[in-house]
Amino acid sequence: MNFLTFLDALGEADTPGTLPRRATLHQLGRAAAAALPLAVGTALATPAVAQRAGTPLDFLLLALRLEWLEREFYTRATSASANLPGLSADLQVLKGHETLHATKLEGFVRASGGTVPAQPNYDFTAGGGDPTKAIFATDVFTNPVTFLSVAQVLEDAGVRAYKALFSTFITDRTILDVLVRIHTVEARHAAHIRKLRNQKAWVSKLDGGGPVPGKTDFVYAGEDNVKQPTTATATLDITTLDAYKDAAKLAPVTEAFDEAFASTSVQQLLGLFTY
Amino acid sequence: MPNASFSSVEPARRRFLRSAGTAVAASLVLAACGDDNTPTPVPTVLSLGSGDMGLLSYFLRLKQVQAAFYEKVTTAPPASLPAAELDLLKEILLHKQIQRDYLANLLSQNSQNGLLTGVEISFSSLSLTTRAEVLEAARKFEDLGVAAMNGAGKYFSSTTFLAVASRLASVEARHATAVRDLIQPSSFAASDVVDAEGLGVSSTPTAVVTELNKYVSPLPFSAASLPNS
Repeated sequence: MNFLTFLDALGEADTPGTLPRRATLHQLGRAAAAALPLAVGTALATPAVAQRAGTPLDFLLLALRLEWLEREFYTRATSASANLPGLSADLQVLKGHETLHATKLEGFVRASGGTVPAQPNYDFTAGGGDPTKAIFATDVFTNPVTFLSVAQVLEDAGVRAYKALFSTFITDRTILDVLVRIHTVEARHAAHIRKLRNQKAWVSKLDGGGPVPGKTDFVYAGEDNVKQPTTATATLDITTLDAYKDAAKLAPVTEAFDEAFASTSVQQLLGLFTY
Repeated sequence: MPNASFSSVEPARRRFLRSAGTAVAASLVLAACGDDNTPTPVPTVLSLGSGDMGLLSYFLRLKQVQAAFYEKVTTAPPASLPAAELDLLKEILLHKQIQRDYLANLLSQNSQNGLLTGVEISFSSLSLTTRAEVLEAARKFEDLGVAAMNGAGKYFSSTTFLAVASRLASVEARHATAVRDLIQPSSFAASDVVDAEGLGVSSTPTAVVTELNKYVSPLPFSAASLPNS
C-alpha cells in the first residue's frame, strides 16, 4: 500500500471529521513504497494498524515532521511578536534542542536516500487550519497559560510518538540510538512544561483528558494501562501483585510507565497542528 | 537449559551458586587452575548476564539501588526537606518499587533471576542529612538512570523488550526533571544531561554499574557480558 494512501485510510477509517489532514498528508509530496510488514507501535496499536506497513524512511519523515512542528512552535514563541514573560530562558533551550533534532533527522532522511520534503503550514490552535475546529485560543504566543497548554500536548505526545517508531529501527543501532536519546530529552521537556503548569512531571492514568478535556484526550489515551509485557506474548497486570492490589496504587502503576502512541494518534496530532 | 545465566557453569557449581544465594554469579576465580583437586570456586562478581535479559537485569539492579535510596531518604528525611518535596520523593519511590517488582517478575517469567536476596545495598558513604544533599543524591541517581537507558536502548534485539525499556526510560527522564526543578529551576535539560547535538547523555553499562557498585555488597555487579561500546 502506498504510504500516503495508508495515512489517508487511517484518517478516514479511524478518525472521521478531521478531513483537513488529508491535504496535510499530501503535502509530503512523496510516494512511499510501503513494502515491509512492520508492526507499528506496540500492544496499543489496533490489529488493523499493526498489519499495515511503512518503510523506515516513512517513519523517519514522521519523526522529522514532529520535530519541525516543535521547532516552529518554539521559534514563534521566541519571535518578536510573541509575549511570554518569564519563559524566555526555557524557550531558548527548547528551541535549541528541537532545532538540533530536526537537523539530525533531516540528515538521516538524506542518508537513507530520501528527499527532505517542503514543510507544511502550521496551526498552533490545533484546528488543522480550520478556525472553527481550533482546540486552543488564538493567543497561543501571547498568553502563557494557552502557550503552556499547547506545549504540554506537543511534548507529551512527542514522547509517545517516538516510542511508536523505535521498533522499526531495531536493526539500525545508529538511528535507534539517536531516536531513543532524543525521546528522553523530549521527556525532560515534557516534565518541565508540566511543572510550569503545576502538573506532576509524570502522566497519571488518563491525565484527566489533558489541558483541554474533551479535545486533548487522545494525547493520553491508553496511558492508564496496567498490563506490561513479560514475554513476547504474555503480560502482567501489575495491579494483581500483592503490593499493588490496593486501589490507591492504581494511579502510581500507570505513572511508572509511559505508553507508546498508536500510529493513528501520531497522525491525529499532525493533522491538528499542520495543514 | 532452565536458566540462561548458567549456560557455561556445570551442575556442581550451579548447586554451589544457588546455595550461596548469588545465583547469577558466573565469573569464577579458580584458586589453583590446572590442579585436579580444584578448590571450591569462589564467585567474585554478580554477572548481569547478556542479551536482552542481561539488559533488563541491568535495569532491575539499577531500580533496586534507586528504590533502596528513596526508601532510606523517605524513611528518615532531613528536617530541612519540606513536606511537599518529601511527598514527591515518596511518589518517585513508589514508581521505582513498581518498576523493580515488574522487572523482577518479567525476568523470572523468562527463567532469569529476579530480586536477589543476597545483595546488600548501603548508602553509608553518602551524607544525606540536609535537603540539598538528599536532592543532589537523588539527581545523580536519576541522571544516572536516564544515561543508562539512553545507552542501552540500541542493544535490544526484541521489539517487546525494547518497548519495555522505552516505557521506563522516559519516566526516568521525568523523575530526573522533577528533582532538577527542585534544585535549580530551568536546569531540566542543561548541558550536563543533553549534549551539543541535542541528544540525551548516555553511559555504558560498565560505567553505570561502576557507580552502582559503590553501594552494593558483598559482591559487585558485573556488566562484562553486556555490550559496552
